Amino acid sequence: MSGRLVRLKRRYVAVKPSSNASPENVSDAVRQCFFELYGKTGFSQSGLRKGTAGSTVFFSCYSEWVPKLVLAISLVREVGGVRTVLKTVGVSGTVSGLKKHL
Amino acid sequence: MGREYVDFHLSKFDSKVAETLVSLGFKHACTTDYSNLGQVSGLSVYRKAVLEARSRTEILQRLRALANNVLAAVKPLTREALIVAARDKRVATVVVHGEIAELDRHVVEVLDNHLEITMAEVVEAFSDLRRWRNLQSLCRNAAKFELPMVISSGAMSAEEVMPPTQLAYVVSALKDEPTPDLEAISTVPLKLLREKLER
Repeated sequence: MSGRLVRLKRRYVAVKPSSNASPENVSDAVRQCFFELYGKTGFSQSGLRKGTAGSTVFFSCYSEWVPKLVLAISLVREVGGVRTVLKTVGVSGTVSGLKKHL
Repeated sequence: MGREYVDFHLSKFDSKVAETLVSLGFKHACTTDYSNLGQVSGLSVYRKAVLEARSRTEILQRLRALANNVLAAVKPLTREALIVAARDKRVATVVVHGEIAELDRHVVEVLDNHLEITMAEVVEAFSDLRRWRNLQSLCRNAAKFELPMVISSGAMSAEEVMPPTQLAYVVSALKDEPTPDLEAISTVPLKLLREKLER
């Protein structure tokens, strides 16, 4: 008997920086923080990706990794050399769902 | 009825912080900064004191000196202080930090008070690997022993005030749980406020 292949659910987390940091710098800062916390293994297992919706940066990862991604986002205190705190705007199962929070 | 969110620890309080709290959906806040306390519509503000202590005598002396309308949180710097803070009825919360003594079954046996973690302490512990591991292991032990926790921002400015769901996700990540622990930012601190201040 072969096991069923289940597609892992993704969640999308929108982020708003407290400064005028560029989306690329925000994304780099979060990815670096996530890497420090969970290493290469966590990075690949989480399925972490970045994206932008207009001027808003969002990240996506598998649903069980959402708290860990939010922890990494919350630990960022500097983006591109400027003191910045990142706040999550919303968590959603789809990008269009995420846009409702913006 | 929706949840009533509480930011249980703010290191600084002014009109900008109050505005941010209201916009993020907080209904209650506790602060250690009494200089700008005033009426804010939609937000109840309570006084709080964080007592850093090394010994039993130090905790008892400082608790005796505290006014009745001030919420007491103890940041224990030794195991002796942790055990005293864990069971004293006048203490609202025991502040978790990177240098805290281990939360073993002996401490858990006497623990009557709630554990509190602030985002400011989490950020500080993240800069030092040993402190970070200590903090994480304590949070995992708290989850193992099913101890309710309180999370707060410990904000020094309006930009450090975080949305309640973000804080709930942070505490669940530290406890290694998959869903946001909304109780840690609403029901648990609200119950504490009612118990400790409406005596």
